[in-house]
Amino acid sequence: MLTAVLLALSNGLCIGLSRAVNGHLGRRDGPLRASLWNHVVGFVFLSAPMALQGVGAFHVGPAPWFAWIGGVLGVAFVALNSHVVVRLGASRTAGLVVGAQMLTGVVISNLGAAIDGRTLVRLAGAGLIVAGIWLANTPNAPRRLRRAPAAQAGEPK
Amino acid sequence: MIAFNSRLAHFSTPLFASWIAHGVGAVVALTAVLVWARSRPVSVPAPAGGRWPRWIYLGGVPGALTVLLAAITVNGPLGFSGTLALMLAGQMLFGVAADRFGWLGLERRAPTTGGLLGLGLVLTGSLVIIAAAG
Repeated sequence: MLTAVLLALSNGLCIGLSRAVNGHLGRRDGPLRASLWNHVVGFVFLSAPMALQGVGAFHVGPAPWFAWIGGVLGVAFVALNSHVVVRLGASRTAGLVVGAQMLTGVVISNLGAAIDGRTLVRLAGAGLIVAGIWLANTPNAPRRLRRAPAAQAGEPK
Repeated sequence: MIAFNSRLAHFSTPLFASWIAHGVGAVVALTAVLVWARSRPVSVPAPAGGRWPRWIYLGGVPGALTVLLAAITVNGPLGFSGTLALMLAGQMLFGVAADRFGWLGLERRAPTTGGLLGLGLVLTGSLVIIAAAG
């Protein structure tokens, strides 16, 4: 479990690193070209261990069709990230992107499942994450929270 | 995206899934560039230092590791939500540090109270979801 946790954490570091580097390239060549380079370089990089594994590496079970097209979403993901990260900075981009991912994750985890205690706990966690993202992306959020709610009535959002 | 790739990993290996995702992505991205972005954007002056560093082309390496690591952990004890939660934490920590020190050509931005409080809430929420995943 600890290994899995550390792997997932370093995964987050890799995402941040990749995003910042691609953003840098995107500033010069545009987000779509940054996405292209990202995928070409990644493909070449992964081809080495694939080749080392030999024929066994290409064994695939009866995967559903949609399992094959994650890369299509990946292209949009990298292009969007490259565009945004140089404008909002790394931490706000991270919060916004993964906030949406977390909500998706909670939805996927609960597709077709009955609503039970576990679902409610997940939703509570999602709520905390949404609140955190709001805090991180709202200028002067702590000050706004301290203000009496009455003072906020009638204020444009 | 992660769900799709991890599904393929479930029927093959994380490495194969990541490799296919990048191969398919390369073809799709090339098509997109040819259709929508034939000409390069107006040239942006290089950041301080005068020349664009070579490493700007290497974003795909940590990107490839990402798919690999995600495929491993999603199909492990953390599951989908737990993996996402920790990826979020790692990304935000990296993000705060990268902004603070202006790493990798990013603009320097000092962390704010709200930003750090938000980070704490996000970590808490992540742990709650991991707990729910068992």
